[in-house]
Amino acid sequence: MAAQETRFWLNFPPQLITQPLLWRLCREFAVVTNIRQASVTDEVGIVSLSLEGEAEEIAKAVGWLESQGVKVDPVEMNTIAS
Amino acid sequence: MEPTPFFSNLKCRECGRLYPKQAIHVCDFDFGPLEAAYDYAAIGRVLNRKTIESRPHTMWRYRELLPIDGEPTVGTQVGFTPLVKADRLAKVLGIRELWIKNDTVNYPTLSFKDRVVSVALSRARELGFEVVACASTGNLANSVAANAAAAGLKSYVLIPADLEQGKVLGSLVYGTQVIGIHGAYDQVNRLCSEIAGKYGWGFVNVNLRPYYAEGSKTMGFEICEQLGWRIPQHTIVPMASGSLLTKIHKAYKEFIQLGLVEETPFHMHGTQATGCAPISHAIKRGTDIVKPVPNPQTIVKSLAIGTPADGYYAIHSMKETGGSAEDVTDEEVVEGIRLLAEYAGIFAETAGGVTVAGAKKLIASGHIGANDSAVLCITGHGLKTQEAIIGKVGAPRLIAPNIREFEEKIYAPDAAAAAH
Repeated sequence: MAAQETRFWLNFPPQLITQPLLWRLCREFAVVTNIRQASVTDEVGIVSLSLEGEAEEIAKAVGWLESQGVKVDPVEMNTIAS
Repeated sequence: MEPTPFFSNLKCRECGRLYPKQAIHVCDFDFGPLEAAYDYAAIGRVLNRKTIESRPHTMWRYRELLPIDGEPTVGTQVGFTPLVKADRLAKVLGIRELWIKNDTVNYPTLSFKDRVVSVALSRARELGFEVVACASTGNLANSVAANAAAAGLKSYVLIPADLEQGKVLGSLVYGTQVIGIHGAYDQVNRLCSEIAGKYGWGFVNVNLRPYYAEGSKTMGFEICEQLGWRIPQHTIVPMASGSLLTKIHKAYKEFIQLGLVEETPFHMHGTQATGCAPISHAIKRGTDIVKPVPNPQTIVKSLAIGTPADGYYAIHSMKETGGSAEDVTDEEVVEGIRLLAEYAGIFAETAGGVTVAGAKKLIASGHIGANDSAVLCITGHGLKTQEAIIGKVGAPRLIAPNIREFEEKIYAPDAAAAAH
């Protein structure tokens, strides 16, 4: 299966801000991570991240991030409008 | 037709990088949103009050400031809705002067979405799209379906599978392809973004978003012109993604830059429902970091976006203009709908209730001065969200068909009540 690149916004809640989750992501899944923008405060961590790899592996990596409590949105995050 | 030179590029709102005028919406460098950029010097040479006033009463009278190359081909009758002076409502809300920008009567689908959709679909045609689509829970879907039908474009509307039947009907009637998707809001969002990326469809709120969003500016242009070419002191705007507020702000700045209005102090205020108020809460916390609301809980479905894409920019618009934000409970929303109906004769959907109730609180708290003048942006018709007020606005009094019963049960008690 061909590799693809998918772009996300990650939202880290306060209790996860200090955790090395992206380091663990790189070790546990066959995806290339590329941070393009980040903003970290006491309240929230926001990261724009590109993931490159096979679609299935990207889906697994996203699922893992979500299971850890990170909110993962595609860059088109509010695609649904009223 | 020769392309006009006014709309020049797409531009990243974060880093300012320029992009060609294609169906793209995100900066490759930092994933920032792209927006339309214009050659204001060229526009300034051709656009003046007299020119605008000579044109038909539609939103396209400001066409040099909209992101299409040729003449509009979709939604040519949209916009120029009434700006109503609401003296009785002003008194109730405690402000000297109040105006209602009434998009409940926007053509053809009774919401401000017709503005954004007519721009997006006109541009979609210029870009050669044969299929247009959107992901929506209501007003946007209705507008895409109607405008695409009138223009002869094939359209798809993607919705969450559990959406109420009444909202689905408002799209189905136009012959659009309505696709219900099983899954949580986030999953539906993700699928829609994948579809937009994979097929050659013009998704109005994904790959056509930079064009779509600009349509909202026309609400701001019209407010200025209808006020006699001036910017209102206060503008109160309901916020979902926050896009409408930022675009009305942009409209005011563009009119100032072009010399169409004088630069006078103005304030942008945003309102949300308390059950989904990520932008309002950020303003109140004094930060520009928007904390997502994972499970919005409010009757105001049309504003229930927990992760507002333009929240950051809306906050900056409010801060830059010395504005403020407020959020209101569902009970206050219903009261807002009633106030607008009873004191201005306008029946708005729940988002309108948010605007009125939010304005009331902002006036009471002094964020909007009692001696000032304000415009309320009312964005959609009340017939679209009737379920929100069923059982909350009273019921008819029933009588037998004879004059005696009318006099006993209606006239006499009403006369007695009036005498008190």
